[in-house]
Amino acid sequence: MSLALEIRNLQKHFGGLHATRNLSMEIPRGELHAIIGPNGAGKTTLLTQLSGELRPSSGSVFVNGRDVTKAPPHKRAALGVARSFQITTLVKDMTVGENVILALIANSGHAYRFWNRYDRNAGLWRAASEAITRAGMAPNLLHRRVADLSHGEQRLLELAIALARDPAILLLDEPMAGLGSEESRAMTRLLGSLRGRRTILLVEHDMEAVFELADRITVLVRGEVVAVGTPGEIRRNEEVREAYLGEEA
Amino acid sequence: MTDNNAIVATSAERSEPVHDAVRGHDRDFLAALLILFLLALAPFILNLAGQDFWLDVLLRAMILGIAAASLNLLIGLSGLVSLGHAVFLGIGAYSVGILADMDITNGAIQLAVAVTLSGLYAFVTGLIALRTRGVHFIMITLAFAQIIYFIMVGLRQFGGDDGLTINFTSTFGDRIDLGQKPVLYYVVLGVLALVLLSFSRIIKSDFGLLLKAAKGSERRVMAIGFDPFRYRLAAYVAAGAVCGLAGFLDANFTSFVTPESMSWTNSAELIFIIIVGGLGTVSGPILGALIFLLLEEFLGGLTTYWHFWFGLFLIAVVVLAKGGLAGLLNGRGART
Repeated sequence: MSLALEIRNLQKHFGGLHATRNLSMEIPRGELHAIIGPNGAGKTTLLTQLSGELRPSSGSVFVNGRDVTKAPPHKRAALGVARSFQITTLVKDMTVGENVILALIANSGHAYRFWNRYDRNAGLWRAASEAITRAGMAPNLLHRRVADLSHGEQRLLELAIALARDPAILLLDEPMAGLGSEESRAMTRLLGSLRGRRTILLVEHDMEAVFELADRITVLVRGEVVAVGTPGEIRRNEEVREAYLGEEA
Repeated sequence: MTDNNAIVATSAERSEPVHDAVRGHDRDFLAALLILFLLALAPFILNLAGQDFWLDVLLRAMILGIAAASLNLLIGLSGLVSLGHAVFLGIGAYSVGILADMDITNGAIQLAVAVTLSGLYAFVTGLIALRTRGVHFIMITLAFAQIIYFIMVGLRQFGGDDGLTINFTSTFGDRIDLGQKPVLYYVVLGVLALVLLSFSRIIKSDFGLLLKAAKGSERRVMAIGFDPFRYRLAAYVAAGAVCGLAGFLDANFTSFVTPESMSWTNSAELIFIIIVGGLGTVSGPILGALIFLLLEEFLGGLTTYWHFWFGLFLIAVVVLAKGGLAGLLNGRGART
């Protein structure tokens, strides 16, 4: 069994606050692994250390067996790590298509092309159109400005961009946040369709989606792993029920 | 009226949005072509009208337009507000002045030195300045420019703050001498055309898209796998080199160079020009430069307090036309 993602003794503190405490995880290739936990458990902080935007205080991160602890985000992206953001970081004053095309350009390795016309490259626009369709967006949104999209559409676009990079590892930070129930179900279906084909680390509050999708679940409380197991095991875990799930489970 | 326009715009966006966006860009591009065409005809018309003085105004406007277009790559496209851009004008002009002082009037050599030094200065200062953003970037570019300014004030052998008179203009072979006004005029016009055309291509290239995206969301660009720093550095070096070229032309136009040409007020003037003309547009820099100099001449002839009226004009443009004058031409704010 080869590991897509391995985290060893990760620690992160901000002054006296321990956001990540001696955290170790092993995620095999192709697994859809969910991370749940109460607010302030350090889920996003963990994801941010995996994407490289935040440097851990100590410990290490391996992607496909390679130590990437010191690699900046763009280097990790080149190794096949893609992330979506909780608060969307889309380029608001560009169109949907332009946002996706940027990711498609990244697939070519660089953007030192000064004289080409991306706006007239029919192949590129077709690929962009396919990318948003795959993510469940209507193709006619291609030329809409991102600022004019609904919240749900922006979340889908986040995913479309991450997928356009054809990543081996997807880090998803609350893709369902702020979605209506209909949109949530569409997103769940979409993530389900990716299962097995990509390694996915999913931070999510929507328990229904998490228990439906995840192969395994890690429960994080105050930066520490409280439990790891299949959805069934987590549901039965007494400690988890007390600490977090409550009546929800 | 406004509401009506909004409705028309949205329905147009619904049916054929690409073409709508392209049309906006095309109008800006056509405006640039039209201005270049008129500038090409101007010497004949002004000569017939016996108004040769205005030729000098147009020449200055075109040189400023080249400098402003290079700054447009930074401010308009990349969101990098430099308050030290005029230093490149000085580097280019001093390259001509100092080499001429050493009896080297070969234009090719002067041009190579001007562009290389400007690019080199941009590269070295860019390595440091581009690690910062916003106000800090403004301050660092300003600080570097002030250093060069005071170095040139201090260098007595090159005239210090009195400046350096250039006795020999640049020559290319036996036939082209930039000291001849008509030659200089069309050379400057040619360079301006080339710079504006290049800008119109770059904003629609992969490189331009990346700079635009990095301006809007740096995290996004990094998460996708780009290091924005490198691309900004490339843009910064290119902008510096082109502005150095403008300085080279300016030295041949004025036959004189002073540290004053690199002062921060000159840098601010370039910012005014692209804001009035239209940030990130193709025609904006030359449009802004023409308006700037024509107003200076026109208002300066009416009153010694022309700066006051000029200030009011600037405020009006910034408040009433967010996309600058080029934005007005396009019917609505030109998007970049």
